[in-house]
Amino acid sequence: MRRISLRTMLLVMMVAVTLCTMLLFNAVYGNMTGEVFSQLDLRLINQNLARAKDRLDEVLLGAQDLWDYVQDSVLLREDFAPGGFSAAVEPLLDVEGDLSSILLYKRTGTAVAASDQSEGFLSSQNPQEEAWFQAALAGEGCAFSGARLEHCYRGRYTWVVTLAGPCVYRVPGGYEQGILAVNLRLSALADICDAFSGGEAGTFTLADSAGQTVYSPHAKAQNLRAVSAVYAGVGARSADERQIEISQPLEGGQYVLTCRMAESQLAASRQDMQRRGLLVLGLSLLLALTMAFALSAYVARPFRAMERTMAGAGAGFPGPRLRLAGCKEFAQLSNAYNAMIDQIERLMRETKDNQDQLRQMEIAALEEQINPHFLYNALDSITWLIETQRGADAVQMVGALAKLLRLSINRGGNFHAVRREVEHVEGYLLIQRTRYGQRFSSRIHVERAAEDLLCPRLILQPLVENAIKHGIGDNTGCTIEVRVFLEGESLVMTVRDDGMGILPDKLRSVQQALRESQPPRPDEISGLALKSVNRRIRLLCGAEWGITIDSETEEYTCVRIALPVRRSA
Amino acid sequence: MRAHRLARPALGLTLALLLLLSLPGCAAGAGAQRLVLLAQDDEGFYWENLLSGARLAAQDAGWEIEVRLLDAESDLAGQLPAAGEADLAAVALDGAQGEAALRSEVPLVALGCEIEGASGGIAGEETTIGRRTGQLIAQKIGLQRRFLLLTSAESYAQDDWEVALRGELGNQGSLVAERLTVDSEEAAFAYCLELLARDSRIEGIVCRTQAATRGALRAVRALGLQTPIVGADFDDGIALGLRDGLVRFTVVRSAYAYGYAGVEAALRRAAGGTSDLPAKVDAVYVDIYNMYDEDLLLYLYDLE
Repeated sequence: MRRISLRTMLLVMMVAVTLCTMLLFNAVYGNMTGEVFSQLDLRLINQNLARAKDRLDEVLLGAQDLWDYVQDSVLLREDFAPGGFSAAVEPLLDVEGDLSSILLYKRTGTAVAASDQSEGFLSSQNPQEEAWFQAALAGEGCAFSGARLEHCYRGRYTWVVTLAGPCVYRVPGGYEQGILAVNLRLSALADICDAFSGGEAGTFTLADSAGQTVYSPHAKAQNLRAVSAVYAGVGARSADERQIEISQPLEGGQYVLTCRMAESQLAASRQDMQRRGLLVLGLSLLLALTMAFALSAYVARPFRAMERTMAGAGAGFPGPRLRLAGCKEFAQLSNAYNAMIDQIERLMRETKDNQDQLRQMEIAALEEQINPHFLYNALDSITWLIETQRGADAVQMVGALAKLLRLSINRGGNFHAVRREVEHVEGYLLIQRTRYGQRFSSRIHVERAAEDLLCPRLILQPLVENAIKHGIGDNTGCTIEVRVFLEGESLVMTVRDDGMGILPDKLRSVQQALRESQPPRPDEISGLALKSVNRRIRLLCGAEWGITIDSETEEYTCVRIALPVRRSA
Repeated sequence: MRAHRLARPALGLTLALLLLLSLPGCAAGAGAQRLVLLAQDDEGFYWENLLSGARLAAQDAGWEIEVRLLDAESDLAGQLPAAGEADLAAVALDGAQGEAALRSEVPLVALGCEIEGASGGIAGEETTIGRRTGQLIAQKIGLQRRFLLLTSAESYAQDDWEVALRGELGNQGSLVAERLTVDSEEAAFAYCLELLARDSRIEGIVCRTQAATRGALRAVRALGLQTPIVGADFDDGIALGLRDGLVRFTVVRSAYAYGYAGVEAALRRAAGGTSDLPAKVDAVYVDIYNMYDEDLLLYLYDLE
């Protein structure tokens, strides 16, 4: 089964969580925010519309106030005179910069006076045919006209809206009726509309109560079709393009201010927000992916290091240790791993040391058994026997020596039968008795049940040699007794001599060394055999087995070997 | 290991991008398309109408428009590469100057002129305008007359309008007796004053530009003459001249149409749509009888 790496898993999980969260957020709040944006746009349009209306009202009301002022304070104050009228109203044009002219007409249409009666004034003009004049004649109050081209002065053409209404002016002997016209520059109204128009604010236009356009930024473009038929279609909106129109009547209800906007323009805010949202979503995903990648790499890196370290440890000891890195848990894991490696290394080192020592002891034991001095003495004894015509004894000694050497050289494992061990000792004793003569005697007792049990090789002979070397000394008539018997679940071998014994201090030292299983030192002369055999027994059979020694000065020395019962396979 | 090393630079790059895109207007501004308009001038009836129309058409289409004035005729080649940075480029020159082969890296629209290699545009049908002007001269001034022609460049002698006009005048037994190049109203006034005072055989003045018309009108009035004038474009002074009868008619090129309709058609095509607008259109000929026509009021009289 193919397994997914930790890094891949972390990466996929983080990206999936981020993606789901963002999609959910976008689904829940995306539309809501789009609606909010659309509502905000409409609110902004309405606010703009209100502000534009206020300013337009201010201008129109200003014109109305001026009309009233001229009627009340100029035309009725004193007898009318063209010069007086002009002098009275001309300064008003300087103050009200949006005004083009103020004119007084007779009801017949004859221009009676103007704000500027300079040479250029066209007194012959007659507006009787014009709609604004007729409306003023027919109406009872003032009314604003639609957009018109004023040509009251030579060489001057100005687009205006005219506030005109019936008025009364004082003349000598009474009053006369006329039409007072205040011409307001259309550019003043157009500037206000243009100031609030543009882009997402929509287009502001002004129309009269009959729906006729007073001002529109597109009036000229739409008029192109009237100029020439080749411009048909110019400026025409697409039939599929839906328009949003919001209107507000101005003060007095004569004009209507309208804001027009294509629905697509209003939706642009929402679309823009959605585009931004998608952009943010995309970038956030990219960010999440990057962070997921980095985080997963950070988390997985210590595990990969561990993997490499373990691979190195498997190649051989001593293995590398894990570096403490990453999170706390991983540091604890690294600590435990390093401790385990240390323990394994220590055990392996101990095992190697033990095996080295065992090998060394085997070699030492072998060297002991093939002690050149012993061999020399044995051969010397054999020579003496031959020279003394004791051929049979010589043959016997040669045979014993051969058996001794064969048993010593035989490398068939660390254990052999007790019988063989005893034969080895018997052969050794035979050779030594020939050398030492009557200085000692020996007895060997082997329990029949113990003969076929297994014991470590070459453990009795060194002890017997010790007994001969240290027990007899210069004495004569010493007895060396070797016993092998079963004691419970133990196989016991004892080597007892009734020789010189061991001094108490020395005895304690030896006993302690045996208890502690101290290895023989390379420079050690005495106790070497005991320690070596003891250590071998402990290595081969366990620490609970080995040699104990007991002695009494001038009386005896008894070396006891305890072994586990081990039967041959 | 290699992928982990890449994670840090990628993270830094992502954070930098987020920071940039959060700057005000950055994301919003990235969406608006840009039109660069190279114009020869921005004063006078013709240029004001052309630029006004172009701006409105761009605004209606949601495009940003940048108008750059050309310092000289030779400046066009130098400015065109800068216009190449926009999404669309438009060039508005005095007709005769436009006949130059130009290489542009963006779609180029010619407004009121002819540019070889332009992908679209609108201009006056100069041959028709010249011929019609000649016909109206015969109608309103008369046959077999000697005319002074006021133009704005020597090179215009070979353009379609002047060639057609001369041809039509020739058919009427009339001729261009004098031809002067003037670049301002004052220059036109000075030249006309001097020439008319010196040569009484000039029976009419044909003006190529608005400035020449105003200058000629002042000169004729100053001398107290009744020399008829054929004007170009329109303003209050020319309107007064029409009323006085000094200006028999004036040729009003469709500058607003060049600007608005020309740009509108180009932007419509840029958006994948189509336009039926012809590449060449006639002028409007205004005299005392139609100068107050309701259909022409908006066209002729600007909102101050």
